[in-house]
Amino acid sequence: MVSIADPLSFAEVLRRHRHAARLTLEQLAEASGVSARSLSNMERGRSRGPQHRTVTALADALALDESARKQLVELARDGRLRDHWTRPTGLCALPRSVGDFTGRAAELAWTNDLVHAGASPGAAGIGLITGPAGLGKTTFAVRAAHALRADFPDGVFFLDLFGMSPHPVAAGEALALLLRALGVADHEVPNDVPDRASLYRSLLEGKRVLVVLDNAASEEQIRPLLPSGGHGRVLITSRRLLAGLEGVRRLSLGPLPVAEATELLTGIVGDRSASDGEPALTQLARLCGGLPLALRIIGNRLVSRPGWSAAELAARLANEERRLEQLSAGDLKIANAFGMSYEQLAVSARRVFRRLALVPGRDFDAALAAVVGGISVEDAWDALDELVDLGLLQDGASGRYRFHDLVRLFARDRLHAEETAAERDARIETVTSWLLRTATTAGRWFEPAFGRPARPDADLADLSSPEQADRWLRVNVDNWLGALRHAASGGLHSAVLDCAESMYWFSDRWMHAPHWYEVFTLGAEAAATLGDPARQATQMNLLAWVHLVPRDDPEAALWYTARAIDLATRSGATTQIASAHHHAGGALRRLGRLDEAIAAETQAARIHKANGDMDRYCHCLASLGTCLLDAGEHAKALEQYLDVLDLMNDDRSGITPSVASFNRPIALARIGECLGLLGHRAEAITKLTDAIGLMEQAELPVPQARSLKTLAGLLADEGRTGESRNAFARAAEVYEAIGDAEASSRCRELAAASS
Amino acid sequence: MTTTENVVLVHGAFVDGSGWHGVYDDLVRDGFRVRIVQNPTVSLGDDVAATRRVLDALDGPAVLVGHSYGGVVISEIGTHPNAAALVYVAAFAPDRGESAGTLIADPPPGAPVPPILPAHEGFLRLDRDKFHGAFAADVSARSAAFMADAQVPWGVGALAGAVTEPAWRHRPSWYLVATEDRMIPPPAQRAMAERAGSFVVEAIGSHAVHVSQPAAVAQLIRQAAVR
Repeated sequence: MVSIADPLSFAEVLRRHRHAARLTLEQLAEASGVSARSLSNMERGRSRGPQHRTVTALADALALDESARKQLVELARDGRLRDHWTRPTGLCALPRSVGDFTGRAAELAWTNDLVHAGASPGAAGIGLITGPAGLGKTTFAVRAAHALRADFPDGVFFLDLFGMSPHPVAAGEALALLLRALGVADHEVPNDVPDRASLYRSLLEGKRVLVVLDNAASEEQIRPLLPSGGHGRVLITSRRLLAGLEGVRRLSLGPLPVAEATELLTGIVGDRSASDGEPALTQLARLCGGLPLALRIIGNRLVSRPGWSAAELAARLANEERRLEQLSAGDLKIANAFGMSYEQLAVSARRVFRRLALVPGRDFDAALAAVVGGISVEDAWDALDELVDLGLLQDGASGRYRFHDLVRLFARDRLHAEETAAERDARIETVTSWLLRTATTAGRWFEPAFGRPARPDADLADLSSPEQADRWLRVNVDNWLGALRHAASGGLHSAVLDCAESMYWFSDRWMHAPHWYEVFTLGAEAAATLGDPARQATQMNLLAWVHLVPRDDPEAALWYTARAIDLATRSGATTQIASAHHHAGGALRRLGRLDEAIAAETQAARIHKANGDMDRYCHCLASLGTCLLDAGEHAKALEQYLDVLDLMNDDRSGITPSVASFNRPIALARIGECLGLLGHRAEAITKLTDAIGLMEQAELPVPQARSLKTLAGLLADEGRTGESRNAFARAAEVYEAIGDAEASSRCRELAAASS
Repeated sequence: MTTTENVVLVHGAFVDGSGWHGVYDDLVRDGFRVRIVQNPTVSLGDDVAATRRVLDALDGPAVLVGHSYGGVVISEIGTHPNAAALVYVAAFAPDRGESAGTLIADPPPGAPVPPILPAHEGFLRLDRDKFHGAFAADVSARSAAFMADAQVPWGVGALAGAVTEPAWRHRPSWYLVATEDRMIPPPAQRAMAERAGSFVVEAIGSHAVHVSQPAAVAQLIRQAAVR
């Protein structure tokens, strides 16, 4: 008996079917066309998620019935997904190189020269590879980067700049991603673009790293990402010439010569090449114009639809070419290659494919594909498998799929040709509504008043835990943001405002995301249009937060708090008035206007207390303490924090227990800091030690690291050298764990110095 | 942003204008009006005159493109009012008083020597057996054999024709370096492009890069056409 808790693996099921069919590995290999070695790897669990095409070939060879076939297909799909999940995806990690990369020897030599050329004048080790779509620029750059890996001991990084999408990655966002990949902690990333760029340049100068910037949009986007000499090297790919870039060596990439194109095609079709014959494959390669993208699509088409010979396909393609010769050469060859695969799809898969062009973001999962296609998730899985087999979609990390830009254009073309404007609009409406409802439901998970959705719409994505909601919002940000933009321009103000409001708490969990300004601006505009000043005030407060925390621009934050106070006063929204004062207090403190800051926080605390909102009241009291600490009023600050701690420890205070357990150790640590500053070192050490223990339990590493460092300093002052050394070492560990390499090494040095 | 709609293509030595076929197709498909000069390559003066006749007949500005020795021609005639921009394709870009002859007189050490046969009755030819490897290594052997047998002898007068006032001092210029060129060494191409202050693109290709990689050449011409 097999228990339900321990489901059979793909390997196990495959072996059982083979034994039941009384086949040896070699016989099954013979019957299915899958090599005996691959089969053996599958049965030993070494390859857990074979490609869909392989699995169907096995099912055919084993003559499985419908349910057995379905089981095998699903197990393989699970395996593929699990492989994606467990594959290490570092920040800006270089993608794998394709196994059957062909040709381009001279171009690879060119990149080799480029990175080894000393700092020759006029070329700071930057290579720009340009050429039209489908030439394999990305594949080539990835291949070159792998080949050069040994020369870059400090790392090889890769960043897709989405140059051809309507929303290319902004330079500031790209810099933030690269800085994090280079080991800079989230909160150490500077706020404005010039500061990010100069930090990035200084890091690149001292390190032997290679950065591949794929699919660049414009000079403005790329310029801040270039090194200014030193050891770092950069390879850029772009469909545009980017003529405004200086000090760059440029390579205009051409199509593959016929011999290499034929070789690539022969490699893709594998054993079939013998039966198809070289002349037919050469002819096909020629018709694909030596464009690797077209060659791959045609190759996959041959492999997954064995009924057609290469010669027949070549004849069809040649015919198409004559019919459509008004199109420009490259695009025509590619569109024809896509067309050959497209028309092989089942009607339903065709519909899903062309409608996927409506997805607003850069990639999507099966759930979104199902909504776009108007089909069940199970059917979407099947369609996606088929599209990946044919090379019309690429499957990326964690069960997500994406188009090559050109394939998306082709899909959009088909959509416009085959569906009416009314049908398209209806689809867009459905997708927009689904994305907004899912985002809003996911956002509300983090709202204390909402939490787990009581009765979520049955059609929404699976959001049964806060972790799932968090993940959905992050990986789908392009999609729901696209829907938000679309809804805003289409006048769906209420849905826009609901969605923006639902991000109130979630935005705090993901404060470094670059999208919040846009989200809350759209929310504020929607509230204004709806004539709802109270809700508009909430959005203004969120915009104040955006400028205060992630953007570090207190002057701008004050502008928003003034608007928020005005709007909230008009509508009598006292909570928003208080929040605005609280944000203003934070901004004023940052500007060193401490008296005004103390006044603002005091007012905020008063209003929250009058409203009975004890959580926020407590928060304001703690901020007041920070202002006093800044002002050098250590005794008053101590008093303030002691009041806060009393409130936290009072069961009847009305403070939410989770809020109390979060803030208690922080208040305690601040009390320790104040005592230390007032010269009561022994007492300070006791309080900080207690606070650190509580932070350990509550898993609050950021304040813990700071407290450990303060503690270590106090211990050193007390002459407790050994303990101080241990505390510095521990602080270094925690800083390292939160990704702050600089603070970590500082603490490590202090630990070493104190011995 | 407007675009210059005319393109005038000037071929180099040992070939005729038919080598531009691929570039022509690519540009015409995009709506450019493309004219190809059939310059006799006997003397620089004649070639300049042939190009001038084409430029005179245009209704507006053009991108003037020269391949190889064609670069000498466009450097001389490129100040014509209808020449708006210059594109050099693996071409000579002589300075004042320089000719193709002076530019190849002093090859860098180790550079491949073009298989030019000794002048016969005032004309130079390429060794037909070495034509494929030296001139057009990246086109098929059959095409290269045809090009070798159809080659146009190069007049020594054209070789010696010196530029009076180089147009690249007066017009914006673009340069495509063919990195595998065995006729004009790529370092010499880069040096001339740098001297002219051209916008430089490299393409991995032989001297006949306009035949083997028409798309890369057309792409650069399109760039030059944007003003």
